[in-house]
Amino acid sequence: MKHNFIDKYSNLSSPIHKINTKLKLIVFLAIAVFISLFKLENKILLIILMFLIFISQIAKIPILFLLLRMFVILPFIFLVSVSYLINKQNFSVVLNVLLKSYTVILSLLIFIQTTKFNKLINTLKNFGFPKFLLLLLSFIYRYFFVLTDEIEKLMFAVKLKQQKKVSVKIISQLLGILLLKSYNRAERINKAMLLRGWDGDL
Amino acid sequence: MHIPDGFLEPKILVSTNVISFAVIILSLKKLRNVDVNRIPLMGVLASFVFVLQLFAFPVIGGTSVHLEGVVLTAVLLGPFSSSLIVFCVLLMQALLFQHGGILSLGANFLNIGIVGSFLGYFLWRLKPTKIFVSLATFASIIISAVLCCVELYFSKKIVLSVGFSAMIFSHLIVGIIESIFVYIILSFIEKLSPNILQFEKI
Repeated sequence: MKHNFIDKYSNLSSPIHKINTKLKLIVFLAIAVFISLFKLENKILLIILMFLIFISQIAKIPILFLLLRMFVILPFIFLVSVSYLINKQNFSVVLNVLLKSYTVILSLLIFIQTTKFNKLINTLKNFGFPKFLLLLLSFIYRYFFVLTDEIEKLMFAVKLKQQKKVSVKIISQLLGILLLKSYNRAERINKAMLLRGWDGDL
Repeated sequence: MHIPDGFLEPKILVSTNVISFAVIILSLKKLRNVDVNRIPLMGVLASFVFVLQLFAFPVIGGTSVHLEGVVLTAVLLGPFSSSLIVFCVLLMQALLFQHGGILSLGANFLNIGIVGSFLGYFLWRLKPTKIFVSLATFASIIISAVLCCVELYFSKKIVLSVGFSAMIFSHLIVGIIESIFVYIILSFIEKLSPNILQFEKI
């Protein structure tokens, strides 16, 4: 099974990886708040962006990976630019939105890709993030890999058993199977956790 | 549509985050004395929704569409549990895939989580049939698209006509596909193991 690890660069070692997670979280949040709340000129944003790219290279994150994440915001950029074309306004406003959005994404990427997930959860716990939500977050992270494995197996089985194109009905039945499997898995996990003395604490 | 950071004005950011914060606190209060057995179930279901949202398939025009699964969780576990699950899923998506921003998490949670969970659940309570769940799914997707447009409009980023025509059109397709999916998944579950529809709805 091929695992598509979601934070695959967090296992590397670099000066950025070694910085205290608390400090990194605070710096990231400060950058995000600063960029979202204040009106900034394109020049200043470009300087911040260059600085972040420099930091990402110290952290050994490939630049192509960083650029590919820009696709997430492109539909919104498209909407905004069409709107500005209709109003015949200055295009630098669109550029400003693009730069703002991408700078936040870049800083988040540097933070997430240099931090191990359990460290992040621990830091959030120290900051007083609700325990219940942290439990759900760690469940999502742990069972993401298990469930993607299961999807791969199901898709493989479908490919083996039929030659025709996969229809909506088959996909939704697969999802139904996945849901039932998740429920059964949850029951087994619950029993295992209770047996090991878990009492609802993190 | 998950709005990225940098698109919303400070006043929109603050108001949506305040609403979302209130709903999260209320949900946590409702679930404070919940049975310990319920937590693994919610965790694995959250992971299921997370994987479901990654399961993108192409539609006409080169864009891809993914299911939300919000109304499904609301019907299976109740509105407050579902809203917490969706909050965690959105947070994980923002952290790991940059689908939606960190500061705009409040807006995204309002659009997707709160509307889907509460509207879906109460429509379903009105008449607990599969058709109604499908209708609720469709309605919640359209309403979330409208809300997304309105938020972007009040941030002076898009012209309302452009936003509405683009977003509503694409979400009509998403809504129809998702409601068919939800209908088939629910009838599948009803046939195979109807007991999982009988969990306590909180």
